[in-house]
Amino acid sequence: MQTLIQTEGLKKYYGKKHVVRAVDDVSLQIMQGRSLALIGESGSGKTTFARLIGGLEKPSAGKVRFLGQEIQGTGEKTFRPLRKDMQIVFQSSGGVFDPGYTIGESIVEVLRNYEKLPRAAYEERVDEALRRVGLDPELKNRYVTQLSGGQCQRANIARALVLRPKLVICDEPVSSLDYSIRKQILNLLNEIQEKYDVTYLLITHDLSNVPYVCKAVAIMYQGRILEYMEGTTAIGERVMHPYSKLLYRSIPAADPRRRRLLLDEPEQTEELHAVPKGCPFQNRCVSCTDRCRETMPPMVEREPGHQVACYC
Amino acid sequence: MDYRQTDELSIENLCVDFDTPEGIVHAVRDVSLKVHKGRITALVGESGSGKSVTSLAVMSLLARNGSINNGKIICNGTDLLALSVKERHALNGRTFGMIFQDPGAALDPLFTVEQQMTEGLREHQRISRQEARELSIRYLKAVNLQEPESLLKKRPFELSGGMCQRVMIAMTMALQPDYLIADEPTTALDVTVQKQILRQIYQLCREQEIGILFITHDLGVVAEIADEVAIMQAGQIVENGDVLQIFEHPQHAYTKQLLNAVL
Repeated sequence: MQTLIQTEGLKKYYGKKHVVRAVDDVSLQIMQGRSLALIGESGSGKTTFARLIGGLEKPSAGKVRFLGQEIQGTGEKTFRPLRKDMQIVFQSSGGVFDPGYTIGESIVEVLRNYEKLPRAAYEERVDEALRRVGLDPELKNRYVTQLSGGQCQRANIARALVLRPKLVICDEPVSSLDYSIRKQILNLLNEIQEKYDVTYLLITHDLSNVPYVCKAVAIMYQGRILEYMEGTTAIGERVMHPYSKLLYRSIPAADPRRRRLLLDEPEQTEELHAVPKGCPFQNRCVSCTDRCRETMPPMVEREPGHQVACYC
Repeated sequence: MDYRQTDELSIENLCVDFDTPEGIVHAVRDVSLKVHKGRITALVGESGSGKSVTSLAVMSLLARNGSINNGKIICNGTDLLALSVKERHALNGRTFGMIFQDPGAALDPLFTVEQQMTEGLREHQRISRQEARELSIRYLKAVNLQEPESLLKKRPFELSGGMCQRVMIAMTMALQPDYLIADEPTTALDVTVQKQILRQIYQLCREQEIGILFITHDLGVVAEIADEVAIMQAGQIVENGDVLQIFEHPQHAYTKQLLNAVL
């Protein structure tokens, strides 16, 4: 199995005095065929992490390796061929396409950027990409405003797939879609990874998406990874970190006989200032000790393939 | 359970049409729906199914090209459609409160929380600035916001999404409406924040006997808080009933399809 992405102590701080620690000391690995879900609330640094991996943002410290090659400090010349193997699917599918271009033109542009092919071959590749995502190739002549939300997100995935990448970063791919379409898109992502050997980094705040597509989960809070776990069956029962438990307890049960959100003890709604030191979750944690306020707990392997950063 | 007719908001055979350059669009077709005080009615459907239009019709906030062509809206025994637009708008705030999906956009970034809260209060009640301020503080506390005094000085962009939504709820509740229309109030929020907001809405409903029309497309949320459920598709209610009945014995194919799509 090939290692697609490896990060070591990756950091991204913003602000003059580095007050905003968007990504803080993250070391993760994504292996080929083992799609990873990165979970966290808004503002936890998920998207910044994705941008660092995609080379769209320069890290404050740490390293990112893609296919064994370090991506920072390499010039555009060496980075460009790497980029071809790594594509991003953004959240707002409508905003990705230029309203003045047809879907086909937008997708061809991506292809033309990286590959020199005869004209007819371009057309063929676009048709193929659209077919892969279950769209009629005729849709390439439409404009983005003429597509429904679901079609638009499919076209967006087709745009990412047209270069036949190894890694696709999906940033909240279904959160702007209706529930009935969400399941279709997730199933589609899963189908694609099985058929075409694509690996995903799925970024989401909706934990219910994870088991459909991913083989491993990382839970992020205020820039840090608090828990990493391989296997995505019954995650809710297996998580150990107090934050992960809180997240899973907050998912609606979808069963009116087993209501739980309203029964749970109300959580402290303290304003979330960034903590100066120690564990970032200390203010909201029920089992917080003095030690947690002083030093950040290291990631410790509790079971094979299951790491937790907590003193509990 | 029996309800007095005066304690409910009842929509009967409502039809709303929009006159567009492409022709007449029948956005809401023959919709009947009841909201009881102290109970939560969930209106569920996909985007474009007419959920929001239904709620806007109740508050007389339809766009200019929209019109109610048939049906009745009866609130606490009064037929709203017999009232003038001015009289109906006077009901908004006092009788109907509304909270929206995007709390950041519903608040004005140029004004502080205090300015926005007291403006609403003083519009509807004859009270002094100081009284309005005290009332605001009381309601901000009621929705579990810490340090309401300093919060009043802040502007919406200094607050998180969950805090903005709580400010919206406090603002709406300070006018003590009989009914609250909540249009996808937690869709833009994280699950942990969603949980807190849902709890807030549920408490308001039970403790202050407010009738809630909860518009959503998330059946998980419906299962957690609704008493009654109406499923809407393409402008029509295809099924309605008690929450247990809908989840355990769905009748309509579309309801079954929606339940299947729950992740």
